[in-house]
Amino acid sequence: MPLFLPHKKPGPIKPTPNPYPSRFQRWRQSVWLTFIFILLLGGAVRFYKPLYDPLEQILFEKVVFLQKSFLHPFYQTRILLQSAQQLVYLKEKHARLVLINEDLKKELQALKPLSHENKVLKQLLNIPVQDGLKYRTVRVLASPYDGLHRFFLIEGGEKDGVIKDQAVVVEEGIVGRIEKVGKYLARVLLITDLNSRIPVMTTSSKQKAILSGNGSFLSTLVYVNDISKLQVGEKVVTSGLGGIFPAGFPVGVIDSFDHGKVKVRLYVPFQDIEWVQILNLRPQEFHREVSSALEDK
Amino acid sequence: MKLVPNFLKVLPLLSLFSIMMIGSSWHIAGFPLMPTLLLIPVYYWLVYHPSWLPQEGLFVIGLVYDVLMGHALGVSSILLMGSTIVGRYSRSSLRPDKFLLIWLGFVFFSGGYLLLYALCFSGGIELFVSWIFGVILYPLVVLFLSHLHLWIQSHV
Repeated sequence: MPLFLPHKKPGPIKPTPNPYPSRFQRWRQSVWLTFIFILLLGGAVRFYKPLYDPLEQILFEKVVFLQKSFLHPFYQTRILLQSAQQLVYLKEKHARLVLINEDLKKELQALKPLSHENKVLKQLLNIPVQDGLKYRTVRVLASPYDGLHRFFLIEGGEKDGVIKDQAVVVEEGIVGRIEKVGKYLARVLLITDLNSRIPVMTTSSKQKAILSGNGSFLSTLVYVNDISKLQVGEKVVTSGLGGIFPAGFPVGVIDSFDHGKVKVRLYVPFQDIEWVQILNLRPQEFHREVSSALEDK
Repeated sequence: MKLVPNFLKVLPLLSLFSIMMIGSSWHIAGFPLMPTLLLIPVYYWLVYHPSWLPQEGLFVIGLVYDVLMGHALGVSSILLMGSTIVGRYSRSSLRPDKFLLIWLGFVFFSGGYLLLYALCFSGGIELFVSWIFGVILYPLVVLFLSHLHLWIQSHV
């Protein structure tokens, strides 16, 4: 069988069933008229906000749910393949982990007195101790990408208590923040996205700045207090300003200076992430409190 | 009731929908396959059977694409619907048995589409790489689509 066949239907040409179509059918067949009609209708909806916002929300929920269904077989196949691969290396990994565990136990023993000392010193200095952050672990469903926006679709929505602007992290550091919430699913705007801006600071020179995403895995530091104090290899962490990301979370390391731009290599391996943690913070309450405090002044 | 033939005529739109849903998360070396991957079935059906690709269907596909990619709703709909008009006028200059000519047509079609797309959403090098990927993958996707086309034609 040839690779590409001409698409010709064999047999005699049949007569048209309706040689005199109605006016509606004639309009329907005119691409220009249909185009203009849909354009006018769509334009009216687009600029009528009370109709557009709920429509966008409904579409978001339905489309993401549909995509989840479409990707399910692929996801299960990937898990199966990964499980098979993991089984092969399990024995070797176990032996290595036993050794690491022994080392960690020794380190823990050494750290216990330091932890106690730290607690006592904090009490003496009267520093308020922050409670341990609570978080919810959710699965990453998909990461649709067309070269413009970088985000994750995650399996957690309003029903699970996920709210807009909550911070999303992994073990290695900050991933992004919740941008849109559906009933069962949500969208995470990654820190590499063009629209992402997060307040950060450097660990050695203590320079505060804004980390700006640019679509690549090398983000840029902008609004740096004193750029001359920064050094290549310096660590970048969240500053805690803005109320979305808690202070001190690892972000990345200064990679290079390119024509006055400070490039930061991010810690998080975005392409390998399967699970993320949503921090149980209430950024919108924080914003409300800040705005009310400003109003009082 | 012509339920089955009518359903078969929806299959081209469903092929578009499936490619969009599955391909939206695919990357090669960090570069996306979208939106050029979506353009392959659009172009194929526009060239071989435009009546199976109604503008209303493309409007919905565009909306779904915008939701999936986090764009403002409607921009992709307009671009896709506009491409049907381009397809309507340019298909007369293409011959269905000249595969290379049609492939070349796709290069220009997708290039023009991506240029408008980049202007609308201020895209960069990623879109260019996506275009290259799409052009390379074109024969592979068309192989699947041509078999689907023949199968639908033999049943409708």
